[in-house]
Amino acid sequence: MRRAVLTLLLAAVFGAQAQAEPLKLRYGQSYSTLRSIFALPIVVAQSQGFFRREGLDFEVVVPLPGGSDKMIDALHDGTVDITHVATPFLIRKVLSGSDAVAIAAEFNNPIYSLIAKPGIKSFADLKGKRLGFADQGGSISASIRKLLARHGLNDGDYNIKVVEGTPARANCLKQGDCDAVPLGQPQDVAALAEGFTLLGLSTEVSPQFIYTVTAVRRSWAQDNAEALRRYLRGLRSAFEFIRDPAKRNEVAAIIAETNGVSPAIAAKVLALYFTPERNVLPRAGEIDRTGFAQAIAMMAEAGQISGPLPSPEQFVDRQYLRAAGIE
Amino acid sequence: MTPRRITIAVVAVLAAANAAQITAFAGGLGDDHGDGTETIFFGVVLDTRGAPIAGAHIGLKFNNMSFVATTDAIGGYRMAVTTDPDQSEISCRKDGYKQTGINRRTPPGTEKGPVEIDCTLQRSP
Repeated sequence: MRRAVLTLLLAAVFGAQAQAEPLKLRYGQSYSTLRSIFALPIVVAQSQGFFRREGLDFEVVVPLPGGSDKMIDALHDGTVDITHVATPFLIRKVLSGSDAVAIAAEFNNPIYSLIAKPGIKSFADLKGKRLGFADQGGSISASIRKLLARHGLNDGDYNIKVVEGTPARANCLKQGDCDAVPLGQPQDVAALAEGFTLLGLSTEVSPQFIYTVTAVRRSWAQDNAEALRRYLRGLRSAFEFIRDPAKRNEVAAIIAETNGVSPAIAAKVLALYFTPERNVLPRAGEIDRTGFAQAIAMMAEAGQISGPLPSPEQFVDRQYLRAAGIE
Repeated sequence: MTPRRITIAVVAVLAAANAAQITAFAGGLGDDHGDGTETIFFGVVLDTRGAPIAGAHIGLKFNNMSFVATTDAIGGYRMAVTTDPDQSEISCRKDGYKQTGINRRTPPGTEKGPVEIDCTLQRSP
C-alpha cells in the first residue's frame, strides 16, 4: 500500500514537472507576413501569453531570403518546426513529394481590395496600366484576375509587376510605380482614407476557401505531438480572444501597433471582418473540408493542377486538432 | 599581407558589394523585403584559420523573433530586416562546428547604415 502511494506521489511530481517543462517550438513566418494582418492570431497568442500558458517556448523564425514559396522548404531544411503557409504553396509542395501537412487553419476567405490611384475611377481605366500583383501562383492573383475578367479586362489588357506582400504593394501604389494593386487589411482601409480608389473586392468573385494554414512535416509531427497539442490550444485561445466583442479595443490596438496604422483604421478592419460575420477567421483553428477543396479547385482553375483533383485529406492531418479538443 | 588577411579582405569586399546591391533595391519589389526601412546586416562566417564557411546558419535575434540566413559559397551572408541593430544579437552555427567568436565591425550606435558582423566557427573534435 505504502509503495503504491509513493509511486502515485512520484508520478504526480514528475508529471507536473513534465507539464511545467516548456517545449521549444520554432514557428516559420515569411518576412512579408510578419507585419501583416495574417500574423494576427500568432501576435495575439504571443502578446497575451497563450503559448507560454500552454507550456511552450515559442519563437517566430523568419527565413531569409524569404518568400511565401520558401516556407515548406524551411520545414525540410530544419530551419523551423512548423510554419505559416498559404494553402496553394503547401499543396504544390505536397504534390511534388513533400510530407508536409496542414494541422490548423489560420486565415479563411481573405478580403483583398483592388485599390487604384485617385485618378482611376473604373476598371476600364486600367487598360494599358501597370498592376502590382502578388505571386502569380497564389490565390490573391487568381482572384484578382477573375475580378478583372468579370469587369472586362483580360491578360494582355494590363501589365503586371510582381510585388510580394501587401505593405510593399501599398508602397508601389503610393510611390506611383503601380497604377493599381490588391491590398489586404489594414492597408486598403488606410489607402481609402488617403483618397485612393476602391475598384472591387476579391470576395466578389472568390468562393469561401482556406487561405493560410499551419503546416508541419508528418515525420516531425509524429515525434512532437505534445508540442503541437499545446500550440493548437494556444492558437484556439487567440481566435477566441480576437472574436470576443469585449476585447475588440485590445485587438484593434494590437493591429494598430503591428501594422503601423491608427486604432480607428484597425477598428474598421475588425468591423469589416465581424460586422457582419464574414468567416475570415476560424473559430478555433478548425480546417473546413469544403474550404480546402475550394482552394484545390481554384488552383486547378488557374491551371496549376491537372488531372483528377486530389482529396483535401491528402494535405490535412486532423489528429492534432482532435488531441487539442478542437475537432 | 598574410593569406588569412587576404581572404578576409576579399570576402569582406564581396560581402560589402552584396550589401550595396541589396541597398539598391531595398523596399524591393518582387522580393520578400518590405518598405525600405530595413537595416542591412552583412558579414562572413570563417573558420579559425580564416577560410570561409559555406552553408552556415546565421541567426539574428530581436525581441522574440529570429531571422535566419545561410552563408553563400564565399561564407558571406546578408539580411535586410527591420530591427534595432543595437538590440539585435547575431550568432552562427553549422553541424560539426562550434561558435568561437563574433566580431562586430560596425561600432554600436552608428547612424543608420549597413551593419557588418563576422562570425567564427571552430571544427568540433
